[in-house]
Amino acid sequence: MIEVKSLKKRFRRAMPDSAKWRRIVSRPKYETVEAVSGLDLEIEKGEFFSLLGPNGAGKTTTVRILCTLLLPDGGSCRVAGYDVVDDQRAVRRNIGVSIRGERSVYWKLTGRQNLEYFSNLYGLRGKSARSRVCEIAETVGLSDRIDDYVEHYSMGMKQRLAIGASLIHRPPILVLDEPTIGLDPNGARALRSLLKELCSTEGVTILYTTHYMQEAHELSDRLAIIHRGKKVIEGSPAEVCASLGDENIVEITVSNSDDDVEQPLSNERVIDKILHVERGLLTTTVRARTVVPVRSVALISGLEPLRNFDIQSIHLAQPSLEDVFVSLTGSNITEVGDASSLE
Amino acid sequence: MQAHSSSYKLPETASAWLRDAITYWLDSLTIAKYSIFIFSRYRSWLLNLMIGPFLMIAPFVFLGDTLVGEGKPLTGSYFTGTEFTDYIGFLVVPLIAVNLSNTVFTWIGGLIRQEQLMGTFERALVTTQFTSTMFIGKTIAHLLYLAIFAVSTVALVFLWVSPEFDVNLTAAVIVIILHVLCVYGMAFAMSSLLIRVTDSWTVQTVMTRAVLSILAGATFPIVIFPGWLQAIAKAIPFTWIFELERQTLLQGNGIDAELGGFIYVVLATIFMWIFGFVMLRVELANAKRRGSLGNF
Repeated sequence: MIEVKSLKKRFRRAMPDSAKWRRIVSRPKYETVEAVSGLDLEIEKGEFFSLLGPNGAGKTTTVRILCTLLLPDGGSCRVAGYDVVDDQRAVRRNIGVSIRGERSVYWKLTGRQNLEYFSNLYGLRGKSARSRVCEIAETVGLSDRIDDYVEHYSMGMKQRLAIGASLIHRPPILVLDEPTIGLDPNGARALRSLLKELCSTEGVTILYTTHYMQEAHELSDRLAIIHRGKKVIEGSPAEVCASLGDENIVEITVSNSDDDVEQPLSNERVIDKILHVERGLLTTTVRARTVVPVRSVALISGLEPLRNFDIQSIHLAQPSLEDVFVSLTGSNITEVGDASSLE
Repeated sequence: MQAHSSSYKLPETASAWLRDAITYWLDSLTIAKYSIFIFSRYRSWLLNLMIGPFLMIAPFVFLGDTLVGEGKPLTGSYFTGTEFTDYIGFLVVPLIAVNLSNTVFTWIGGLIRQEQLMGTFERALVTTQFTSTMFIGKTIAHLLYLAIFAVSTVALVFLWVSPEFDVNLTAAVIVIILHVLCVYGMAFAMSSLLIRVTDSWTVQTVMTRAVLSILAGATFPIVIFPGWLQAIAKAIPFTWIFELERQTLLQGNGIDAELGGFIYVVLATIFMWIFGFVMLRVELANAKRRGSLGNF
């Protein structure tokens, strides 16, 4: 359904200039940033596929290329069998898109008018358009507010309307760019179950981008983690997590003291990598990957660096997608720089 | 799951070209319909459209009355310069035209920027089969408002300042239609260029005001300019349009009174439309390459 081969996209980015007067009177200097660098993806029909990565990883760039909103600099992309550069109209007919979320619908129109507008533009008119609008309003749970102006909707309702608008022409492929950003937990949960249902009952192929690891784990049949425009791993969530090994993750909680637990622990040979450190008021929890599978927590509790600490708990943990991400990229998903300001 | 196609239930024999043409016009009408729904939510804007232009015209007329009204000292020199005996008509006709053009430039010229600001531009682009239907649809919607503008302004002008009209109806209708086509053509061209220019509003406002209000000689004869500036003024289609409108609405003359100017405006209009559509394709492709399509 979606085939991406050696995809490349570069942007020019204005370089920061310290001299204020030069920023005002002259053109900025530019540097080239590789947003997507040789990406390969293959998404099957009816699959729920997530592209996972931090801000600036290249997710949105990839999605925009697939939606014909950006032209690639190299490689090829085919959506529903059509090339995204040469057959743009055919690609657009076959995809439903939700980008920019709640801002992609017209706030000065009612929910119904928005859905009618998009259905008309997709070639649905008259009775069939009206019945489809009612059907979609029901699907996205907006039936009771469908005649209200969108400006009076909550953010979650606007998001659901945007997704409804992308479904109006029964596209075989749905492309959603971070649709749960800004939603409250209930709204996000409702949206996730709606998407899961669409995928399983109506056979819609969904390409979903997010930087919420748990969300991707819960929804995806398969996923790919991308980092700085490159794919670092691909597979089902279970396969991706299993890549770290079943018994290699430990979580150690110690009482806070004057000494830093992270530094000595990271020098310990048994510990391969510190994945996450969470400092609380009273305790510090370190999540780490070990070099060899840990059969017993005794192996960890006996470590030299921990002798001077008051150990609250040590337990083996199941690897998460975030562990995989940190392990493969060396950085935390929240620490990676935001390249969304690319020109 | 099968996607709906944008093609309509036409006989199988209908050519792809015909299907595309029907899709194009139905999409344009859809965009027009919902644009009117959106416009109608801004009632203050509508009120401004109905009264605003007259408020801009009135001070010029009152100033004109002070200086060149009946028995005023400057009457002779004014009539010599303008070659018109009715100073009110001389001012009012192009001023209505300037305001009309300005509203088109403001709305159509900033069309893409408005959609970008609302955040709907990219969504619209992945929905429409033909990008330029956004222009045509918004134009159709805007024409309705233009009609309200024209009727209300002309009514107010007659009520307050009573110009003396001597209309050559056929010629006047042709000139007004040409004016509307020219101004929309120029607005399309500008709108396409504005995909590239980030600070579009200022550029658009300054340019339209400088061109329409000063260079095109809306309120004064361009003979007061030095020779080189007159040459520039004569290259602007609106200079000829204003003159043609004065001739056909105030003097009862036909198009032949300024035939050269008429032909020039027709050619300029055709050029502007072609330029607008070509630039839209070029600039959209450039924006897709640069990644600046959704910037706002």
